[in-house]
Amino acid sequence: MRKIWRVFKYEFMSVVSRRSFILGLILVPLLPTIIIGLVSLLKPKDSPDLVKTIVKEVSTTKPYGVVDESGLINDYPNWAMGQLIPFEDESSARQETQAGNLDGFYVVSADYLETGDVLLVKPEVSMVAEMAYNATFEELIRYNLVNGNDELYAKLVNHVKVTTEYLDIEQADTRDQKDPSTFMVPFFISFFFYMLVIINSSLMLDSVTKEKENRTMEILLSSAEPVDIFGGKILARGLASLLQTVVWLATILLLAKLSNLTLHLPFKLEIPTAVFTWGIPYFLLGFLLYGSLMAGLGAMVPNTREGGQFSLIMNMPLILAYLALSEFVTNPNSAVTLFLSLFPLTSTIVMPTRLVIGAVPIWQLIVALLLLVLAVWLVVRGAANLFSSQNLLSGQKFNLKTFFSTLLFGKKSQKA
Amino acid sequence: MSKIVVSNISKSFGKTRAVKDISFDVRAGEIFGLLGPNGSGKTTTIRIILDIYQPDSGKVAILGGPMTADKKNHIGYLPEERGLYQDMALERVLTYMASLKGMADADIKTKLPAYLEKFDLAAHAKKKCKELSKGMQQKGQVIATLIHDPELIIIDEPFAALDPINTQLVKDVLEEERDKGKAIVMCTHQMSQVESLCDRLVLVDQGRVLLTGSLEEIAEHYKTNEVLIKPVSALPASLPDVREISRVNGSYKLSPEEGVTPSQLLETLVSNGVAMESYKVLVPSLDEIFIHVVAEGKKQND
Repeated sequence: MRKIWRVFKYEFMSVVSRRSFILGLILVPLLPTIIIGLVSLLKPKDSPDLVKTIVKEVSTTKPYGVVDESGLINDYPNWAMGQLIPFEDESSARQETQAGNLDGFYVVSADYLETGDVLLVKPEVSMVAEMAYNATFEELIRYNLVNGNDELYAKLVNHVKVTTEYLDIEQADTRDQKDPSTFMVPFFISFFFYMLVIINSSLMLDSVTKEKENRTMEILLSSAEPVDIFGGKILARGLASLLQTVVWLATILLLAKLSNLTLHLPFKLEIPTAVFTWGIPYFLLGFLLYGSLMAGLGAMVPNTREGGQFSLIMNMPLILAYLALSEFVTNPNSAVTLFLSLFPLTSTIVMPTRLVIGAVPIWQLIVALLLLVLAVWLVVRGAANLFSSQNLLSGQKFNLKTFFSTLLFGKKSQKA
Repeated sequence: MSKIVVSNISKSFGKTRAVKDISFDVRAGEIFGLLGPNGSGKTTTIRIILDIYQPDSGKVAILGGPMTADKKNHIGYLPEERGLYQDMALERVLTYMASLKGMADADIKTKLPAYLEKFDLAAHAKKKCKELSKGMQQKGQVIATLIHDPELIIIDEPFAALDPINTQLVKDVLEEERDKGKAIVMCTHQMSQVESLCDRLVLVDQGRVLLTGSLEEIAEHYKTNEVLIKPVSALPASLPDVREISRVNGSYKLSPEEGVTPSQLLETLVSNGVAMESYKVLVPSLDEIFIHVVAEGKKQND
């Protein structure tokens, strides 16, 4: 029997029996689940939601005064009364504010219609209340700009109702741009996949360089073929990280549903299940790609320190993809995004993120996956070449040119 | 029967010729010394034997032919550059090493406790390797080399980090293995251990063989016929058949003329009325031969 399974068994058990792995696997999903669960259990059934609580707090604050020097504001509608009180002049409004009867006052400048200048005077900082009053004040201005005409004002505030019809529904960006979760969730998912691939592939590098440093490598090589050691390691660590990813992704989906049910967030957390079904193969292939690169790097570097330095170069495509995150989150159908989605060194994090953003054409999903499989096949073969006895036992300095020529063309190093 | 036949192997790394046309064989039931100064090509030779490196030329037959995956299971190797997984328990590391040698789990469970007991490590089996002393780790590595009952054992500096008691323990174990018919290749710089354990040896330096043969053959080849005597009274200023007389710690070292044997010299001394408290034929130590041969080899190279 080939030794690959023996290496696999040992490596897998070494990883999953490590305290940090067990704690990470269980505690990371368990803690937020418990917190959200407790909030759900302890919260009275008729308790107000988050938005209502903020509004209530705002409504209990004192009103603001309005000094209109422009002569624009002639009507105070019912919804503004009690929150905004008109004053003839600035000194009386200031007096009332200093007496503690007002939280502050607005002064609408005489040339407001030309400049749009308004001064807000207030005794202290109160951000939430200020935001709420500013909104009410702005509405009061708009209301008076249409001379207190309720019908016109209703049209003004309701804006224009546009219904979009997409010729190609797959290319459509149907997201609600005002919803904070539209951008927050993709950022989170992108970061999640980025960290998973980076951390797990770095652990692969660590595993190889440690075996060189603790001098077990030569003993292993006298018992098994280098390709068996490489294969056993990459499969074991791939399975362990897959286990971790499945558990964490499932938890994220569960937490999103729980949050919507219990936290009454001002937005709905939506994570499509496609992130789970497609994200897992993308992650696994991404790990195999970067893990193999790291294993090859580990075989070529003399120690962990040097390995760490050069791993930055190997991880550069992932880092660049992460830096380009705002591009593919805001423009999910741009040419740059399409390239990053299909390019195997970046698709592992870009494609799962795009699945959160919206519908990704199925052909892109399949082509990206096929390209990733092809890249994994090439890199695994190249890394197996790098994983030669001569490289593993030599103390030679790392050479980027030799690394890539062996990885891509299979020329084995001859230096000792 | 030869367990290893090395035939004219050479190996270069870039411009450095690490091994030049080395040949020797190792037989079943012997301890074979592979000796040489640091950087002489010993480790490269071993790695070629074990198929870790491929020779540029020449060939190696191991256990009757070229190396195969199955043959690796019949070889025990303790390299010079060795270590254990420091964060793992000793028992777990040894189980892994044994499994890589093709041992079944049940077999490991039966044999490992016995080996740990034999090497006085049973109480430390659950400890992480980094918690063990260097000597304990060394014994653990010897267990990893032997547990799968290999036909061929290759050990590099097996006595490093061992105290005299554990050195004797490892020596006894190696002799037991030899008596069972195993072939053992031993690399060490401790010539006293070579003299007490090895049946035959090869001395390499700068990648080539300088000397090979059994200990007796080598001693015979490098003997000088010099004798050390302690006379009862003063020696005459000159003696027949003696080229040179020198004082050594109250005794006299006599260097005979070319072709005069120690027994002929004894007869000459007696016939010349030299009474002696002691008479000893001087045999050069392996250390002396090693230094002499390496120095000669360097001269020739220069």
